[in-house]
Amino acid sequence: MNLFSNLAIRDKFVVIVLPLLLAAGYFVFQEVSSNYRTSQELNALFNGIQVTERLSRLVHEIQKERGNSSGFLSNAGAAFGPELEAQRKLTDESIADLDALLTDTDYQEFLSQYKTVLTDIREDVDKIPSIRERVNQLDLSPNQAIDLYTEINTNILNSISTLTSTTDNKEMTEQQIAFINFLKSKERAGIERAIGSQGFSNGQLNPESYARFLELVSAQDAYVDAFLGTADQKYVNYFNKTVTGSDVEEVNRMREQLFANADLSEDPLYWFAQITAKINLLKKVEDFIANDIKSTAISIADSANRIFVQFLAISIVLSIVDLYLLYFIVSNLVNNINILSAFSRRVAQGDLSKTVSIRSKDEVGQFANTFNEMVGSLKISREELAKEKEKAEYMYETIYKQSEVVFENVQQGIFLLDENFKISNLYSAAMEDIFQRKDIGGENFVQFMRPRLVPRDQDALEMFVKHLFNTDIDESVLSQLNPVESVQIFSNEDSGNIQTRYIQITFSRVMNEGEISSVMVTVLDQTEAVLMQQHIKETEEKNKHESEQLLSILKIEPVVLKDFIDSSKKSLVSISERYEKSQKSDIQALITFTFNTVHNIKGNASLIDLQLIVDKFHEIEESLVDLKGKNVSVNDFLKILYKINEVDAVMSNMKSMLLRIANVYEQMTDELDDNSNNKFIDSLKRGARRMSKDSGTELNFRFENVEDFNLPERFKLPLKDVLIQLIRNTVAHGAEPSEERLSAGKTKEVNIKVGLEEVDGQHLKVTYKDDGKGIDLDQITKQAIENGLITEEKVANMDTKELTQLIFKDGLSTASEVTHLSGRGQGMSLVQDLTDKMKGKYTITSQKGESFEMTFLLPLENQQEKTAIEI
Amino acid sequence: MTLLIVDDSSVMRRTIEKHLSDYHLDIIGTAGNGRDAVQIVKDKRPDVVTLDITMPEMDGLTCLENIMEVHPQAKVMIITALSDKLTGLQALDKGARGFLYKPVSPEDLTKAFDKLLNRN
Repeated sequence: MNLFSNLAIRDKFVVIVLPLLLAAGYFVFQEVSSNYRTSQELNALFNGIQVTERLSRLVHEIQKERGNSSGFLSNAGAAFGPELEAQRKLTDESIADLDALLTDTDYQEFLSQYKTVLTDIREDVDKIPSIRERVNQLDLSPNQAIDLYTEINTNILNSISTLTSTTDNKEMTEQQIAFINFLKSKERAGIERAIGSQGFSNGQLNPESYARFLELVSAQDAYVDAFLGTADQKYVNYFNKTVTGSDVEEVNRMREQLFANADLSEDPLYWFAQITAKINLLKKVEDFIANDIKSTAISIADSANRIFVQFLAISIVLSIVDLYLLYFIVSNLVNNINILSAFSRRVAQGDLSKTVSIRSKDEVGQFANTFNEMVGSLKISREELAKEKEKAEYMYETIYKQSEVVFENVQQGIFLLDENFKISNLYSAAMEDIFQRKDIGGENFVQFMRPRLVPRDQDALEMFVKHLFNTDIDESVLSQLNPVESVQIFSNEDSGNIQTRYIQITFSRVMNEGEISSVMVTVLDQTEAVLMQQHIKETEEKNKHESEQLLSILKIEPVVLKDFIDSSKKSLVSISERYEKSQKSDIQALITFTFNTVHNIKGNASLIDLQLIVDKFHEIEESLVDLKGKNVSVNDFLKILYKINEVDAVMSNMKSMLLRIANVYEQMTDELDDNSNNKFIDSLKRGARRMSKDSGTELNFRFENVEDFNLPERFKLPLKDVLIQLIRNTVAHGAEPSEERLSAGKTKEVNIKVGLEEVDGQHLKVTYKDDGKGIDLDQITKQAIENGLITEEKVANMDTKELTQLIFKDGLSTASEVTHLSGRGQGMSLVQDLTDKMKGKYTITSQKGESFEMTFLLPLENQQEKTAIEI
Repeated sequence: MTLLIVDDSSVMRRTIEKHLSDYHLDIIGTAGNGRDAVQIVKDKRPDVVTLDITMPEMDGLTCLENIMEVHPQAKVMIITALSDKLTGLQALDKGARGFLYKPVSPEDLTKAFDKLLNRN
């Protein structure tokens, strides 16, 4: 079947039609040949009848000659002479007729089949002249003559039945048989005529003739019955109509006489004439039948012939028409299909400008119409498509490009996350800035974030993103657990530095028909905001610090503070001056100097309750202690200097604040009233309170004779420093524990008394006295030896006064731990320095277990002290 | 609809109970630790469970795991003071469907329950 489906349509038609054509041709051939055969048969029959006609005419003439010859012989030549002579000519004529037929070229083919039969007939006919000779000689009896002629006729009649039995047409065959029976009956009638002539000539039939006569008549009747039984009705009718009348009745009347066979008086010529008339009637019937059969045969042959020719012609015409139609239809079909296929090829190539035109209204034509409709709608849809495309292009131009612009310029990182956690290819340009990466599209978001997060957040993010696509979990529930809601990320800069960013990532589900189609992710770089916040926090802290400074400033007398700052700054300047001058070798001396200076300022700060500065200098002190006695570099000292500068800056800041405040004050009051000793006293009292509080030692600190005394300005600061130092010493070294004091009969609190008085008008006497345990000389000596300040030998030769002087040694301290108040071993050396600065003198009186007293004698100079604050 | 409240703080249990008093939930029990909670879930099969994370005896995540094992249809809402998000996400992983940070206001609680139970 594959082979068939691969054939062209034209060939397919051929394959379909060819067997039909062959079958039709076969049947046509069958039909035509059958008709042809029928026609041939009937032609043969016609020919046979033609021959039969001649032969039966010959038989008829021979019968008459037989009758005449029998009459001539019965009358011994006296009668029938002229009739016989005439009859012989008629016989010869019919022989000539037959011969003419037999030699006719048209009949040769037909006759060739019957050559032997015809040769036999010819031989019989050739016997006739010798029979005639013997009749002329009267050499034969009438019966002998009858027998000779009858033999010839019998042979001819037998031949006739051979000649006519050549057709398959049953009807025709039947009529022929009837015809032959009729001929046989007529032949008997001829013999009856001859024998009757004998009887009437002799007046009686001899017994042989009589018997023969009876047989003849019954044979005649039998053949006629056979004829009537089989013959066509029209022949029977014709026979009944024709063989009737007076001649027949006369023959029957005279036949009765012959049956009686007595006194046969009738004239033999009369009998002969009557029966001849009857035989002629028979002959008339014979001719009718022969002609009829002949014409029937001819008409059957003709019609068969005609049918054959018509059929052949129709078959040929039909075949031609058929083939032509087939050719036309197939050509048309193939042509149309070719047109269609060419058209569809063009459509396939996108040419919709034409329609296809097929005139036929068959399926192909309908298909062409459908195809045109299709192309039409295709054209419309293409036009619509083009419109849609235009629209889409417009949309792209406007919306997409705009959104691209937005994506390019939006500060936020925006992208879509698909269900495989892949970052969409379209993402805002800010993404690349935030993450310092290009071509982020298509990356797995969780993997992308992993190296940028701390491990705990990595795991949380993975879990979180998974739940983003879980419809079971409410978005608002999930958003509470966003691990990257505010997160620090680390990214490698191109330079290789690791950069920290603070980002905020938010997620929002994009729903489509109840399903989560994707998640929109927004990344906000909050680094600047966070840094800003930190900055604000720092600034706030600084502000807080400043306001603390301000508050601490406000608590202090402005003049005291100014003095403190000024003197401190001066001291600090002396450090940098000393640093500039110093060599690398005396760096330890520099450190010692710096330490002393700083310690002093710290003490002063503590005295005026400026905790901020105290803390800062304490820190510097710690650093200096670390450097003491070590092999230090200039750089190490520079670090200290740097810290000192910082504190210096703080103090400058404080001063400027102070001045601003002072400005305000100045506007409010004409000038600060500072002629009294109040601030001096207050600051010392405050210092004492503070030290008492810090150490837990209860103090009773009081002044004597100070209210009326005008303390020179230049003494105020150094003296205050000295007194502070002494209070510190009392608290750190002199004060016993409360129980010890109580058991020794002392008050629980340590009493400190400061007295100021003018002596001899030139000196100021300052007395400091406490009721502590006094100086522990043994302890001081031991400590001085331990610290390598003095040798044991030297100590052995020193008196109490000299030993007491050891407390002024730099680096001596009996305190077991270093605090703000003591332990540096610097205090008393500072007191000595300050006293020297004031050009004063001092004496120490210590009573062990009873008291410690130090008296200063300071020279007074006649000069007016300016008390206003220098601005 | 039945509810079990699991929290080691009795104050918190009472607070949740009070906040939900108008919510038409049948509070069938409270538990102060994970072990009791699992037993109650096994016995009474509550529809809804509020669950604390930090608890003695058995911590909230283990408790959640056990609850889902004995009663997978239970709707569990985590109510925790723990700000660690990984733990919260692990709870979702293990089958929790609601989440709230302490302290809870009555509005937050009812809103979270509306979501959990698809009420409007």
